[in-house]
Amino acid sequence: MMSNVILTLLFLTLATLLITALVMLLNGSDVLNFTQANGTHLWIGLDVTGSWKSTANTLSANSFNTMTWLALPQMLPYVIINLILIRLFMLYRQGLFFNLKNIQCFKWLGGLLILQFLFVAFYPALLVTLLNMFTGSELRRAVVIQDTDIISFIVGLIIYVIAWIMKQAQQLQQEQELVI
Amino acid sequence: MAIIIDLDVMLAKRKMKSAELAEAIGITAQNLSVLKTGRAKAVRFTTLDAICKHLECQPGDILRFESDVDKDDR
Repeated sequence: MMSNVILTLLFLTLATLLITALVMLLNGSDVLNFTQANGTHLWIGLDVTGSWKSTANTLSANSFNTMTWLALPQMLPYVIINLILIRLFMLYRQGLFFNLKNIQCFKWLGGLLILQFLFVAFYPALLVTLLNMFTGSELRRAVVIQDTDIISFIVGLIIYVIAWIMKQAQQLQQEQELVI
Repeated sequence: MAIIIDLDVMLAKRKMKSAELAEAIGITAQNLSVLKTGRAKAVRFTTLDAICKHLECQPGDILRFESDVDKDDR
């Protein structure tokens, strides 16, 4: 029951992410922008957040498209995390808890969060370097790491450790199954 | 492994089927098969107790030790 609710939420999130990305790519506009005079504001769209903000400002000041270069790549890890979580909760729904497939999901999740830290830290600088090389512009490179990036790195490490513990649990369960 | 399970010998002596014994001692036929084929990692005392009770035998009639070293020497 619980896994069904979480799966529904995950599918909704994934659909929102993909629809937003698609609308951004095709139309270049927000999916939903609803503002009223009384202060009600409902908005679904893409925005560059966190440590990439300064690079986004630099790029938009030099008339580069920040959506294509920054917002979409920033969204990519979240789409992959969502897909891994969907797979994990599908397994839970099937009643598989200490299975090799579950462990694989945890490993991917941990690994992805650790890689995301490197991606978040170095992608903007790499992108600006490439743009400078190919367009002849002279934009300033910046490597910005925020506390949230460090937290997600630590969470990634913890999840990786959990994957290792789950592997031990899986071996214990396998052994338990052979105790008659 | 060095410990050999002679359960099928005892079952033949008592003219009892595996499924019958499994039902009598309250374990699944699959688990009894795991035990018979020597794939089991351990046997609970309660299971051993039930098997001995139903087959009217001693644990030594079901379990046998065969040294791996002897096997290698042969």
